[in-house]
Amino acid sequence: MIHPKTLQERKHVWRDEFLLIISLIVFVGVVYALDSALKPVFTTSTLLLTGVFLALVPAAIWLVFFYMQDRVEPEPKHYVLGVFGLGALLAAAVGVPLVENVFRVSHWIYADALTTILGGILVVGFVQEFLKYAAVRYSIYHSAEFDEPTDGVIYATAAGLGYATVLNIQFVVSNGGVDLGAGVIRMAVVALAQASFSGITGYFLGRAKFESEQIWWMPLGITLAAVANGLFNWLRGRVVQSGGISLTGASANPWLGLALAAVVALGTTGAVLWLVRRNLRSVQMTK
Amino acid sequence: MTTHQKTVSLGDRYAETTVVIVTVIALLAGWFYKSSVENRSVAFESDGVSAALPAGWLRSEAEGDLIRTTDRTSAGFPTTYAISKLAVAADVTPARAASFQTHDRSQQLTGFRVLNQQTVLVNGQEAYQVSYVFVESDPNLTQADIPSVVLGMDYTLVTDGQAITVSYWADEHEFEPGLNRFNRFLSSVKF
Amino acid sequence: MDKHKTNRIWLALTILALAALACQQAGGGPVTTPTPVTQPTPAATNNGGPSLDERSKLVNATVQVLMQVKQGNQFESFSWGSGTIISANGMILTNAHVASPTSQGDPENEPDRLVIALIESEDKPPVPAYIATVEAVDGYLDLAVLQITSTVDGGSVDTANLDLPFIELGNPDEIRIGDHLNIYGFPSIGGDTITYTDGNVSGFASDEQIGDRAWIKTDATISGGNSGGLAANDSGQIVGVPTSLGASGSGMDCRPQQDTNGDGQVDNGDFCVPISNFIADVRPINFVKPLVDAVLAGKEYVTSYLLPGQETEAGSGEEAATGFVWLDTSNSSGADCSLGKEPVNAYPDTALCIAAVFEYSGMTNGQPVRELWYQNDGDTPDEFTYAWEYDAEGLFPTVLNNGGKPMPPGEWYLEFYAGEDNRLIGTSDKVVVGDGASSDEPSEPAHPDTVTVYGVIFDVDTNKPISGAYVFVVEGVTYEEWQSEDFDEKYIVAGVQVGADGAYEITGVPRETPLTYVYSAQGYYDAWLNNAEIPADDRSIRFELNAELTK
Repeated sequence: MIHPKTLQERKHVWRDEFLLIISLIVFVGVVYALDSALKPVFTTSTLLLTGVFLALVPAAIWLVFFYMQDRVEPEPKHYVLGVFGLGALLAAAVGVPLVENVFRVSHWIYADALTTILGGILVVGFVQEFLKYAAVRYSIYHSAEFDEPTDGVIYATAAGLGYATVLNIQFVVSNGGVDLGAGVIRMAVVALAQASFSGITGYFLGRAKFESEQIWWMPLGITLAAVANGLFNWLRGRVVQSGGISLTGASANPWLGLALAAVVALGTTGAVLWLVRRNLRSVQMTK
Repeated sequence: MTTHQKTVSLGDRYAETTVVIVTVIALLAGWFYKSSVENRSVAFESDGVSAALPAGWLRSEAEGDLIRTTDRTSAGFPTTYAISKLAVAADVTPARAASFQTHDRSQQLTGFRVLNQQTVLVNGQEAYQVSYVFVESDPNLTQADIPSVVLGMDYTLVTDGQAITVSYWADEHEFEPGLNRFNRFLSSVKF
Repeated sequence: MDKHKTNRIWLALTILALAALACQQAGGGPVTTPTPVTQPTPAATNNGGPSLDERSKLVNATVQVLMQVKQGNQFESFSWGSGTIISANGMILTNAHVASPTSQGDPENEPDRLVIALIESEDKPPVPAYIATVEAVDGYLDLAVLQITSTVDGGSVDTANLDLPFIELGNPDEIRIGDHLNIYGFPSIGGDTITYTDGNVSGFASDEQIGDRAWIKTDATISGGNSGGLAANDSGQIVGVPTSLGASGSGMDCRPQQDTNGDGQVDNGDFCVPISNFIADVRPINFVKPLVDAVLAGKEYVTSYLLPGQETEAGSGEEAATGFVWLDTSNSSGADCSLGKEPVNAYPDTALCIAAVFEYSGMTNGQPVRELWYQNDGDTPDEFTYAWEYDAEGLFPTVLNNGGKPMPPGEWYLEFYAGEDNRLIGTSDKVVVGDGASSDEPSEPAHPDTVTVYGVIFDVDTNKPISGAYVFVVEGVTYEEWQSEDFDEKYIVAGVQVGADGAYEITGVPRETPLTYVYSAQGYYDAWLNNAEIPADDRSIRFELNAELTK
């Protein structure tokens, strides 16, 4: 029997995700406005530190939200944090070196549109999604705490945010500090995107644990996530540069990228949670 | 706490492995795709010399070279392949021709140092290989830039009283990673 | 049970942390090390040199030329070089910087006398035998022909009966790269006996005044005293005169190694001995012929080349022309322009000439200068190019007349250029002749046809400039079309790589021409602006075009 409160929780989760995305965008807006208005002047190290600090914020927002939940079956906080950390570690130890140094993606992937998409899916997409999947699969997947399909989404999102945080820190550090206003937009985009893709993986994981699925079920999940990853990155690039350059100046518009990320995040989260709910109902009905 | 009873199916048992296999396949496919993208080439032929130049690179026939092609997406010093012809006496060995080329380079390039030289076989033909280093800086004095350390490699081949030198120049950090691509280019040179 | 799982998680995390650290230390993923096809083969063989007879002839005809200066009653040698006897009656070929440094603008080192020392035995230092005088010298070619005039202790010689061993002049035009050269001389390093070094011809160098094959380049080690010696081919003919201080330029390193000027110290005052592994230059022997001919004919040899400093060079680089002032010319008549003292802003339309005076500085006598008089929207400008014959600084008046007729009305400008690179060093303000109006054009100065496009290439996400990015200006295609043609360079009008500040500047962009601007950098998507035209009526001459690239 499913606890009636559990059903209500589903709706809460959707609302919370929605609020999270909104608050992330608000955070971006605040930082951008402050940066434009105050125009603070930093030393290089201060800029670096501030950038790294900002990189941690999206994940912090999500975790805080998550902890403030009065959940019927709260996940143990250290478990979520652990998966978050695992996602981050895998990104730093495996993901980033693999993409940057072994595949040297930046050298060839921008050649033309097809290359960007195909390379984005096969290399970047699969590396990132597999690692996030692994962060969940090889840690708490078999734990008793992972006891409902939504947990799949939650843990996977935690792993995704961990991965995104590492990507954002690397973004700040490898550029020697970034302009805060522009940088925070990109950080939010990365966080939203990574969380969205892992949401897909999480859904597949959730169902895989609690139902007997075909052998191709989980691979399909990873593949879908990887495809979403590749397509999104290409699309974001096109959208940001959609303004084109003109003789009067003004070309790229990163806000459009953020809008795209927000839409994608909302869309995937909504779809995933709806699918989970629908699946639960159908499972419930068969019992 | 609700517990779900489920029958552990074949899929569950092997799901883990399948995911790994699919990922590995995708990465392998990605690797091959990357190789094919990087190795895209365009045929070039002139004056008895033919080669497969990398696609998307800028071609020029500057400064006495038969062909010079540069990677327009390189950061720092643009990676360059060049083929130049030398006029040599009838019985000159690759080593002699290479020494002439090297002397020329030493006069034109700043901070020029020869690192290594040896006779090698290229496509079964005897060639002389010289590796060297120099410093490249934009002659435009208004460019605020640290000059780059460039590694270079020349292969000099002699056929029938004609000598060509196939050169590879790249920023010191890009030299090793790009060497494979250059070796592919080198083996495509027919003369 | 939970604890068990927690421990497992922590264990996994720790292992991964260590792995992460290790990976970072190793510097990332594996790097494929290429293995080029190598199979060392033995080195190439040497060519044969001159025969024994020829060699001995070469040795005997090589002499040491001692540069001596008078100290009290004695003569002391302060430097030396090598020379070659080229005729039986004592004509000797050597370098000008040995025989007469004055010809190269170095009068301080001019010797008071030259002593010729002959080789009597290969393993002993040469023996001073004769005194020679300079008969012909060419400072530019660094060649000199000496004639033996007396014995070293002042006795007379009968040149017709001297019968010294001498060397024939060969034909340097037959020389090929890779040919073997035999160099004989008295180097400053390696002792006082004659030495022999050899090498191969590595090429030829040209120079501005002579043209091609002005120098033979060789990889032989030619050290100081070898200059003026001989470079022979394998048939024993002299084909060139080694000149260690090769004027054909760089690639030479030299160190003072011996106290050649006798001041007790080895320092920069001593002969700079070239150290090994450098390109040495040999002056081909065919340049000797005019000197030899002049000596034989008893005529004076006059060099037809200009030394650096004598030629019309680019000048000091500091030429300037400022303070242009237009002067009254109302007292002029006919084609005779007479300058008044009053500065004017305008001339009446009856003015027969216009005159400007300006302050000049940094000028060099002999350098080319150019005056350019032009009108906006007028006919072709008037240009006068001539060699500067005046001082280095002062006031310079110049006039432009119309052959006795009134000057064409309108606005006039004078520009002054100097140097072989035709650099603009000063411009006057405009002066108006007549009522100032020229046909129906507006009175502002016309804008030039070309503009400058400049800007900075940024990264959108970091708002920082992208160092090492490229800008390409492409004509006749859009980006998409250019991409489909594999970025053929034939369309490229301009290509610039930005520096660390991400800034670029492209001058000379024509107006009213559709051009495509492409921005690309490694690790970024390309950005482009297809077929943009600078409008003709926009008066700006500098257009800012920033580009933002994203990953």
